[in-house]
Amino acid sequence: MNRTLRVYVKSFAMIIMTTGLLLGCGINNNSKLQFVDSLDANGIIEEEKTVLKIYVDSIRAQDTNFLDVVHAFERDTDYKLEFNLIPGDGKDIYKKIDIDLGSKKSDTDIILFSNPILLDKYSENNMLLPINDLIDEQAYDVDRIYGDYITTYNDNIYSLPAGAGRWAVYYNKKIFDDAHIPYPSGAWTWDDYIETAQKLMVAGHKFGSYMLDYDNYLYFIARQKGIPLYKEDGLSNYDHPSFKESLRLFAEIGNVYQIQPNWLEFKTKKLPWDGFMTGEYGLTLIGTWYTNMFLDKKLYPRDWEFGITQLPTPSDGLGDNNLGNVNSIGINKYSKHPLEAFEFVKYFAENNYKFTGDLPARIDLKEEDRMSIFRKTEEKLNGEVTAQQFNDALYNTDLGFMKEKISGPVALEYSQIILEEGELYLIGVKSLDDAVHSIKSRVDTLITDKGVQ
Amino acid sequence: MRSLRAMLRTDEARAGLLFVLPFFIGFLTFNIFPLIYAIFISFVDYNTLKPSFNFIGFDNFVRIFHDHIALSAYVKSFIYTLVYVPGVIILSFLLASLLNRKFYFRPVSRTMILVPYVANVIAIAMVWSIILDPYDGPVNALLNLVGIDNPPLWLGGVSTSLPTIALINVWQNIAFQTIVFLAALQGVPKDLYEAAELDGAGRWRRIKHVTIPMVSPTTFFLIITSIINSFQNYASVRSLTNGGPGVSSRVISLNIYEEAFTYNRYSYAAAQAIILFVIILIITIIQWKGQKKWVHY
Repeated sequence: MNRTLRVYVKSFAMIIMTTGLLLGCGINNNSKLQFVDSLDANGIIEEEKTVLKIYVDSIRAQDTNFLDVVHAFERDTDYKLEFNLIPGDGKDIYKKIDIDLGSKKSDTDIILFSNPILLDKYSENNMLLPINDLIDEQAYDVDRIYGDYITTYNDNIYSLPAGAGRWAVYYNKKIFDDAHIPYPSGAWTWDDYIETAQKLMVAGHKFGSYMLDYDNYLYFIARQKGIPLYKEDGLSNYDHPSFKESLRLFAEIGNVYQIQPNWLEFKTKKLPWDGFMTGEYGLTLIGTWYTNMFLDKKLYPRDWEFGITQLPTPSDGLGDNNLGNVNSIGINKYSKHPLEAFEFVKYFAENNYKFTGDLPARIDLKEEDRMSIFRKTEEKLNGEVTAQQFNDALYNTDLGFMKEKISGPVALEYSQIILEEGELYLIGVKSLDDAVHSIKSRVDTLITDKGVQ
Repeated sequence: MRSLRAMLRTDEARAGLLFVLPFFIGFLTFNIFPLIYAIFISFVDYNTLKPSFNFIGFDNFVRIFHDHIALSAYVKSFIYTLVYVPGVIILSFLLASLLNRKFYFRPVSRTMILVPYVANVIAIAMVWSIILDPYDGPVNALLNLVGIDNPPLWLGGVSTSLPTIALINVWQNIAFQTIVFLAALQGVPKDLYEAAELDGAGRWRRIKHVTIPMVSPTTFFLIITSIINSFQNYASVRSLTNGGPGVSSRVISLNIYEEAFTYNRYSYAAAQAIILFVIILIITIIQWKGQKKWVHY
């Protein structure tokens, strides 16, 4: 090989290696409005469609109910929805979305928020597009459709509510039948709940109840009584006696009455969030998203039937609210086609409940509209629970509605601090007063620091 | 000193450069540049959700010294290191000494110790959670059998969670240290042992005066890398306790992760990372200076 050829070979090898090394570092910043041509069966171009992009996690990307909403939207409009698939699930995907949005170069138009804490974070940091102008231009009557489910930040609306899940008690009929105990129904109190679980245990079950390790279990009664998490001066309201009462009740359920695995047992055994589906527990108190698990008999095969009843209320009679989680949908502030994205946001907010089983966050629906959803669920469950039973447990009650999640300054940290300090009380390391004091002082410090900044 | 141009005059030198270039580019891109970037953002108020780069001087660093959670996370990392490093070094040395002897199934035993090292950290977390379950776990059942009424809560206890994680990591990582020690032990000349034996040295004196000094360069290398790794430990804490109960096992790496990716305070997280870097650097320099007294090359 002569010298010139060797130089060429080396240069070529160097270019290939360097290019190969750097190739993986590239990003796709194609944020142009795209059009796609769909081909019909005969290979003829049908129409031109605008492509919108939405962040989804891997579970949602395969959720046939969600895919049905997307397909229905694409069928009814001139838009096509493309997924920006984010690895991970639950809250974890938002860590990646944060980085993508923070780059200001994201070409993804639409974001789904599974809870209000996330919406708070993005809205307060002005990462979302205020949709007030779009609403006004189209004379879209959000008050009539969504009422109080609409959340505003400094008079700006950043999202539309897409579902308002409520809490309910699900129970295992087989365990009740075996214990010859009547199924719970109608209004009942926390004392009744505990007593029922104890009866199931007397009948031979290790635990009568199953609850998870979510923050809201630690302030459940306070929310049922409508006690706000912030005082009027903006600081934490966790020193209100109702929060102490809530924490004490949750601790007693596990540690004193022992009707369910206590916090320490739940944590050290790493008990799963879907543990009720094992069929070992009589009752569980959870949001209505849990209904989907009973529908999925492939993932959760069971030889028992379930029932549903309304949430217990505080025994002192001072709290008469159900709690609920409002999920929502918004638009990336840097979206190149907000008008088109708003079409999907409206479509999803109005129609999501028809496909996914989420309870609607709409106040304009009549009871018959809701019953039609429940009838579909009843059909899918082969009559295991009737539409009337769903309606009785969730709507046909004397309970009001309170948002379950913390919404306000440092909401994310507030939630985490409740879990950290509450945990120390629940496992017996801190006294109730110390735990409550720690929660309040830590949250107050953060709020004050944020104000200073 | 020859100039770069002079050094590159030969074909071999240019070919050598060609082959180290990918590593060099990778090292600059993935190590040096992120380090410089981290130093830079630690002096600004960068938050992924509110991207701005306003210079705020040492504010982030000052804030750390008023943040009880961050300070306690540094202390937790120290405690973790104090349990993990002596544990892994002493046990791996003993294990290597055992494996250096002749016994039945020695090749199989040497292979078996590698199993935890290649196991997935989540699988390890699940298995140890079952073993150390304070309610129905086999370890506490055994302790109850021998008459211990209040066995430890292990991962569920405020005072036991961090040492327990450290010991689980000792178990997992001991294989690497053992193999390195084994190689060092096999490199100790046999005539040194024979000479010591002729001088009347017993087993313990042979270990103390022959083996330990002869493997001291290896021990030094393993101590330095173990300390660095222990301060950077994140995955096992995350999967075993996620920093709990409360914040009892929240080590600094986990705290940095939470600040950056949960609360989006990238600059503040970068400042914590820089302090961690400085701590590790100081410890390494002290060790480097101190090695002259006990490392025999």
